[in-house]
Amino acid sequence: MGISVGLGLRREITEALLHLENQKPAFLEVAPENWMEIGGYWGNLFHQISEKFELTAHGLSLSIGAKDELNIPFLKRLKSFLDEYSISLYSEHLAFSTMNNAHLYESLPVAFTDESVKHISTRVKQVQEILERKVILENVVYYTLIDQELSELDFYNAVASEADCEILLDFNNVFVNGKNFNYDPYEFISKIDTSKVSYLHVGGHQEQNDGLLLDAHNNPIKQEVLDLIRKTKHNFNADKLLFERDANLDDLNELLAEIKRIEKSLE
Amino acid sequence: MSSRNKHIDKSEALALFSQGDESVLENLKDLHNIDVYREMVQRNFHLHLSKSFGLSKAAIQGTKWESLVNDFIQHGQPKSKLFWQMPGEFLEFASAKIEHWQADLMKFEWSQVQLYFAPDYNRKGTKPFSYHPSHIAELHDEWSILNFEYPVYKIKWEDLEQHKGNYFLLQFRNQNTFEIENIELNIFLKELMLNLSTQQFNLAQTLTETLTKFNTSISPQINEQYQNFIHLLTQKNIIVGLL
Repeated sequence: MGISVGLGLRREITEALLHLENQKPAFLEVAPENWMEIGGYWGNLFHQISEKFELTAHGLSLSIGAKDELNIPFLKRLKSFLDEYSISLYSEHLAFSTMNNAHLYESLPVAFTDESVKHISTRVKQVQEILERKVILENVVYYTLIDQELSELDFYNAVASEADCEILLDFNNVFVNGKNFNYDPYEFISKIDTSKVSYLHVGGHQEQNDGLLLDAHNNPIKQEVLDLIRKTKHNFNADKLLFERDANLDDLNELLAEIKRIEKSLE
Repeated sequence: MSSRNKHIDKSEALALFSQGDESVLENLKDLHNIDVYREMVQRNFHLHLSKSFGLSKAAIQGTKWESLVNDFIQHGQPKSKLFWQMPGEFLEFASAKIEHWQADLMKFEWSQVQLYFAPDYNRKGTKPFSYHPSHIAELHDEWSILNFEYPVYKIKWEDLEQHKGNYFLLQFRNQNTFEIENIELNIFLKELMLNLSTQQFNLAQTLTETLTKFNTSISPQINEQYQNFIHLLTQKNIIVGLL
């Protein structure tokens, strides 16, 4: 079975996607928080999109690593949205984005500790029960290490095992974290529990003046990251790889050309 | 280290620092790149609030706007799970800290955003609208009535002070274009609109209820206003039919 390549749905490209006939992305990934419970112009376009494309979901505000109580009413609303649009694949960031229930609207890193594994796993189980779906947790980019009893790799494998959830492996994030924290992305991929990896991501990054790589999603994917995909793709059973772009979205043709580059690396 | 800061762990400290709290720096002294998080968090808030309140930002200006947003990030405790709804919480937070006319302007802008994204109305009835006193009109719900102290929607900002008063604006989403439109209402039409929207009264009862509220009876002028308003609501598809 091959790996198909999808694109993140952003408002800037929604109309253009509706007009595409050939060379469509195989699927679109939506952030539920940007599309749920809306009507009017965007609600109407989203409905058309859902009729033309297969959808996957990548959440923004679950805050699975937070100490706050899970927001059960929100999870029920989320489930309604996923059910309404027949979205079976739901992923989120293995991070936290709230403190005292206040949102930061950004993914902050969790501690790689046994306590974190237990805490997050308990919450993931609860979320899976409510959503009636597996939660797929993404290896996020982090720029600082909070507390580290476990390696990042062992941490992800432990959460996936303990929570009985799945992993979203972002190739770019492995590469960026590897560079920033001096580890080998190939070794990381060879040791991640691939039986748990059910979804893949890739995007562009940029380098700051001080050498720190940022997960910017604003420019073409670096060749080294495509090489990482090309050389490790056989490790995975996942059948979907998502191309993420959050900025420089003016030209859909450029994004489609990026998808071609990814597809070439998957050949 | 303050007694509060002794009890917070590094991830909490990083969150607080990203919100703008520098008192937790000591908790973070062995962490690298913490500024990256603060920049990302702050940039998201500033960008999104600037988009939602383009006019208000221009009206409040420069450092005052910047410090309002920074204050909100640090102390506003936004709870909206949907990022696009966060500016509504900013409006609540900021209203008491700015000039009244600026708060009116923010309210005007935010209401447009809310209506623009509001869920679509599902019709209850099936009959098209026709006027008869015994008919009950069905209105969609993609509208709101805003009450302003200053008519920010029609008067230049520098002249607003001379126009302090009590203004009502019916703001609604056009059913065909999805754009937001406005109709200024007097206090009689505001009450009439609210009574119509309860969809409990037929058209005759709606008028009677409204007149009773103002302790008055029908006159040719009032009747004309009433008829014109019903016609306008029909023309604008706010009245969508009969129940």
